[in-house]
Amino acid sequence: MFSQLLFKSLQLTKSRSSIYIGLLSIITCNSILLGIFSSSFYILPTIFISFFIIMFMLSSELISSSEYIIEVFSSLGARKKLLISYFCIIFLIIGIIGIILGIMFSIGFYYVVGFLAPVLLSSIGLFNSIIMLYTVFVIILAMGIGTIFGVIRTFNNVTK
Amino acid sequence: MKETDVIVKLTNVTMGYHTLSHKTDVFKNFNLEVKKGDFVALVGQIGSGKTSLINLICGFNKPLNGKIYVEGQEITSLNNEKLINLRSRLIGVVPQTQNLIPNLTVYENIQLPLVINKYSKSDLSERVVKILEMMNLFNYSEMLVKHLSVGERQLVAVARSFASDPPLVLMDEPTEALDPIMSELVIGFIRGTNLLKGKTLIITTHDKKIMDIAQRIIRI
Repeated sequence: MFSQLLFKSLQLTKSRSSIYIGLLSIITCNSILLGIFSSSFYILPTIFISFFIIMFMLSSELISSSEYIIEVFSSLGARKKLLISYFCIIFLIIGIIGIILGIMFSIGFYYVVGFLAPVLLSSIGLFNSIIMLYTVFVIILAMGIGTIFGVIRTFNNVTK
Repeated sequence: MKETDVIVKLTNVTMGYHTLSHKTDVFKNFNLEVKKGDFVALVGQIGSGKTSLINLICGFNKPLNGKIYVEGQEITSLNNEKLINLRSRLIGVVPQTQNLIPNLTVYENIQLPLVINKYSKSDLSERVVKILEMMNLFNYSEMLVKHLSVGERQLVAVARSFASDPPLVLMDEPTEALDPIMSELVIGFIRGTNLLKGKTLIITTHDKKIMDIAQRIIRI
């Protein structure tokens, strides 16, 4: 019951998370369309940066709400060590989901562009492969930093 | 007064906020003894240190000097885990900020301290229902706290502080945000717990009605 209440408390950010996910979808779709029709892959850095910023904001949002939740729970008698373990698990789960989504997105992007623009793809196949790997790397990095940042902030907060 | 009758004791407590460039003392060498079953109203101007005093007794803050005893245990030297344990057994708190979780229902917010302190499911449900009825909150039990008015939230915060039946309850301006009807309800409830159940109450307030029913008024 404790973990149920803790997870339910974290939904404090659900509405804002939806905004970020919505933003992410719009940017992704626009980038794919621009990538196909402008015959240019220079649009890719825009996706990377957008992904990075939005994932980072999402992690920060969860962190700021978790700080309040930790304060309330510990004032009511919850053990800080227990809270630390729960929040580490939560941030790790978010990190893993982010990485999986990042990989799926990258592969999806590669195949969508590849399917719709074969001419474009054949002319810069090697470059596209590098870009795909780079996408995966940046997204993993973004989520990794977000996760580590979250864990450190949580530790700092609860051990004050 | 016997030593065992005393539930809260502060000896020569100094509290202040010191930074590298600035030193502000809130109060100096403050002494206080509250015996079990007392109803104490802490009054004073804004910034006189009423909230700081409540936070010290709860163990949320540590004093610059002096010692604080709760139920005979010196809390300023306790580590965090022991302090949390003591607080969850002995103290109910209604902070000024209410500290409720907006995304949980009224029922869930009230049961939170009981879940944290591992009450059995049946005991937990019985206690929450009882307190909801006493505070006239039963019809609100499934509502999310974020949908309540400030006054209703205050009622929930008061109800939550009594949920685990602690012998000592500390409240920071519990009637500040309430309309006269709600204020009467809260005052009646806390007076009842003091008279019928022998709860020790330490309340910071500017409300004359609370001062009128308190056994002791301490000005700081």
